[in-house]
Amino acid sequence: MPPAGTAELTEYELFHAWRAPGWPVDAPGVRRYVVASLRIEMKRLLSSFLIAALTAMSVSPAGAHARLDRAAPAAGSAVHGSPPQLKLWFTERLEPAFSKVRVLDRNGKQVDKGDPEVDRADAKLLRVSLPKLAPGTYRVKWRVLSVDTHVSEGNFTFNVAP
Amino acid sequence: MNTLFVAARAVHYASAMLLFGELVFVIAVARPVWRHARHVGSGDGDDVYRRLLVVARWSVIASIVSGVAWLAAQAAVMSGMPVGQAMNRETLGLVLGNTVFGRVWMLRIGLVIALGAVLLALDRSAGDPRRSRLAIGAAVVAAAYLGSLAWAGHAVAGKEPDDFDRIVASVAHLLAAGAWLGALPALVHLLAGTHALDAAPQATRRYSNLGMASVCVLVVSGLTSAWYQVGDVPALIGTDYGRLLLAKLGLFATMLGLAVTNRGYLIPRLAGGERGALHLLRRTAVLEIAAGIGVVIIVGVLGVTVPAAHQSPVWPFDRTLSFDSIQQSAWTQLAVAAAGTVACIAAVALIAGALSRPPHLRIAAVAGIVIPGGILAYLLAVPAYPTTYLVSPVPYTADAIATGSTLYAANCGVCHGRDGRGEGPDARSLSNARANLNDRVPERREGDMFWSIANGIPGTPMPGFTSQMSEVEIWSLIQYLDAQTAAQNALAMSDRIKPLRPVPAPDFTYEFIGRPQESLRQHRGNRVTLLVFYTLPSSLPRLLELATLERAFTAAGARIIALPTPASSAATALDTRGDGESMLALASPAVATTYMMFAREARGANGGAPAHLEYLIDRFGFLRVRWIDVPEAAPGQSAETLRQIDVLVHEPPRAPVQWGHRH
Repeated sequence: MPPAGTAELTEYELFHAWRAPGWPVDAPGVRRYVVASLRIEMKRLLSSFLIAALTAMSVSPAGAHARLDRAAPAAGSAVHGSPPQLKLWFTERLEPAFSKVRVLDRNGKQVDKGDPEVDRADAKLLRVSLPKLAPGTYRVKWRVLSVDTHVSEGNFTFNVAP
Repeated sequence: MNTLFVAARAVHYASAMLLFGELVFVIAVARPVWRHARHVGSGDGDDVYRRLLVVARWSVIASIVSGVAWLAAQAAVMSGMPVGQAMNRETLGLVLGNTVFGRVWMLRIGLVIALGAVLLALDRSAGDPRRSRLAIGAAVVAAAYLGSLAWAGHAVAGKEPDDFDRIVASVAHLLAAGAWLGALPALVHLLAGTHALDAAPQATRRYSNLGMASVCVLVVSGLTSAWYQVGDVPALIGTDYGRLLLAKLGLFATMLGLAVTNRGYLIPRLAGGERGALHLLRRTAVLEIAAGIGVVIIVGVLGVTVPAAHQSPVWPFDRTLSFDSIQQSAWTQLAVAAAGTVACIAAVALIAGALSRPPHLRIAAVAGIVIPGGILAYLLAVPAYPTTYLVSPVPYTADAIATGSTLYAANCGVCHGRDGRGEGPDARSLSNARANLNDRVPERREGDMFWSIANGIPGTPMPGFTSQMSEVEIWSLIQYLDAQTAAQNALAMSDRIKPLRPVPAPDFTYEFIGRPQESLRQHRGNRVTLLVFYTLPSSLPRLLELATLERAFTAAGARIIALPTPASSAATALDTRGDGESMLALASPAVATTYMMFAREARGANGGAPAHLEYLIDRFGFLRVRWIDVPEAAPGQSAETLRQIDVLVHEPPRAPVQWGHRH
C-alpha cells in the first residue's frame, strides 16, 4: 500500500497518508512514517504551547486570606487622647457583610459605637467609631471575611494615656 | 464539617468538568469520527447523543446537590455558625446578595437551569440536522458553568490591577482540565463499544490532540498560579498547601506519562489494527481517570487550605540548599557553576534525544544529570531546622528592639558582652571564640537564629533559652540583634549621602500634638522624613529655625518629626512666626533609645549619647544621612539639609524594607 516513491513526499503528506485506515503496521518504511508523524505532533505541541504561554504571559499574583497590615491606633501603642475612630487596614479586600470589629475595655465590656463598616473607597479598610475613652488598656477583636471567602480573626491591645 | 465541605467541592468540580468534557468529546471527537466512518452502522451518531444525555442528566443532578451543599458549608464558614443554624433566610440572603461568592453562585444557578433547558432541547431533537449546533450551544453554557468556578477560588483576591489576568489564568486552567479529564470517561466508553476497532484510531488521535493542547494550557496557567500562591520552595515543602500541590503535581505527572505512552506507542499500533492495543489503551484511560479523581479531591482540599504564601513554612529536613555556603571560596563557586551547566546540558540532551533510539546516549544523559546534581547537593547543603524559613511575627519596631535590648542585657551579655563582641565576664571560660556575634549574625537567617537561641547549639557552650524566654521574647531579641548589625553598618553613615550597607529605620508610632496617631511606615513611598532628637534648652535655636522653614521642607517633599532625647523633657509648643503643621511629636521613650544605637561614630570615642541628633530617612525606610550635635545656628545647615532631601526625593525607586510579612 505505501506508494512507490514515498521518499519524495513531504513530512505532512507522509503523515496524512499514513493516517488513512487500513495501512498495515509491518509495511516497509513504516518506521519512517512513525518518526515523521511524531515530529509533526511535536511541532503542533510546540505551537499550542507558545500560544498558551503568550496568553498567560501577563498573569499576575493571586493572594488570599486577609491579614492585619496596620492599625490606627497601632497594636501595642499608647495614644495621648481618645481617638475618634479605630481604623484597621488589611492585606486583602473585605466583604462588608461579614467583617466585624469590637473594642472592649479592661472588663470585657464593649465600648465602641457598634458601627463597623468597610470604607467605600478602600475595601481593605475597616473602621469603627469610638466614644471618648477613659485612660486605660483596650482590647480590639476583629473577624473579617476576604473576598475569596476566607475568614481571619485576631486581637490586639492599645493604651489610652491621659 | 470540613469533610462535607471538601466532598461537596470535589463532587461539584468533577460534575462540572464531566459536563463540559462530555460535550467537548461529542463535538470534537465522536461526531466527526462517526460522520467519516460511513461503514460503521446506521445509528448515524445518535448513539453518541444518547449516552451523552444520560451522563449529562446525572451530572447536572450531582452538580446541583453538591452546589447546594457547597453553599451551605460556605454560609456556615462565613457566619461562624454551625451548618444547621446558618441555613436561615437572613444569613443565606446576606451570603447570596452581599458577597462576591454569593453573586457568582446565583449566576451559576441561572447557568445550570439554562444548561438543563438546552440539554432537554437536545434530547428532543433526534434526527434534526441542527442537533450539532445545539450541542455547541450546550458546550458554551457548560464552559461558562465550569469557568465561573474561578470566582469561587483563590484567584479573586489580590492586587486590583491584576484581577483580569488572574481570573483568565484560573478560567483557562478549569476549562483545559474539563476538556481533558471530563472527556476521558467518554473515550473509555467508545473504546469498549462494538465498533471500537474501526472508530478507535481516528478517535484516539483526535482525543490525543485535544489532550496535548489542554496539557499545555494546564501547565502554563498552573505554574503561574502556583508561583504566586506558593511563592518559593520552602513554602512548597514546608506548608500543607505546598505538599498538597506536590501530590497534585505527582498525579498529574502520572497522567501525563500515561497520555504520552498512549500517543507514542499505543495509538500507532492501534492504527495498524491490533486488538491488544485497544485493550491496553482502554486500561490506561481507566488509570488516568483514577488519577484524575485523585486530582479533583486534592483540588477540593486545596480550596479550603490557607495558600502557602501566607503561612510560615516549617522545614521538615535537617539540611537545606543555600548559596550562602559558597560565598567564601571562589573554587566552590566555580565547581557549582560547572556542575550546574553540565546538568542543564544533559537535561536538554535527554529531552531532545527522547525520540532517538540509542540507549547509551540516554544513559549518558541521565548520568550527566544525576552526578552533577549530587555534587551540587553536597556543595550547597547547609544545616537547617524547622524554624529556618519562619518569618518573625514581631516586626522591626523601636519597641521590639527596646524589649530585645533588655532581654539581651539580662541573658546574653554575660558571655557575648555588651556590644556582642564576645568580651563578657563569662566568656573567658569559653573554649571557642564564636562568642563574637558581629561576624555571625549578619549572615544568619532569622529562623536559624531563633532555633539557636531557643535550643542552643550542641557541641558549644551556647544553651537553649526556651524555659527563660517566650517565643515573642526570642523574636524581639532577634530584632535587637538585627538592630546591632544595622548599627555596625551605621558607623559608616555621615552628614552626606553615600553608598552604605542598608540601615533600615525601625518603625514606630507617634502623635503630633493634638493630631491622630501616625506611624513612620505610612510615609513610605511618599515622603522623606527628617527625624530630629532634641535636648532642651540647647536645641531650641535649631528647632525654631526648622519651624520657620517648615513650609519649605514640606514643599521639598519631606516631613519633620521632632522627638526628645531620653535626657530631655518634651517640648509642647514653639513660639514661632511660621504657621503650618507642627513638628513636635510624642512617642514612646523606646524610640529615642533605639535611634541612639545608630549614632555611634566610627571614632569610637563617644562619651555618651549626643545631645542633638538628626537623621534623614529615605522614602523606602532606610537611614541615609546623620548629623550629630548640629552646631547652633550654623549658616547653611538648613540649605544643606534641603539639598540632601532633594537628592533623596529624586533618586530611583528601590526595594523598600520588608516589615516581617511574607508576600
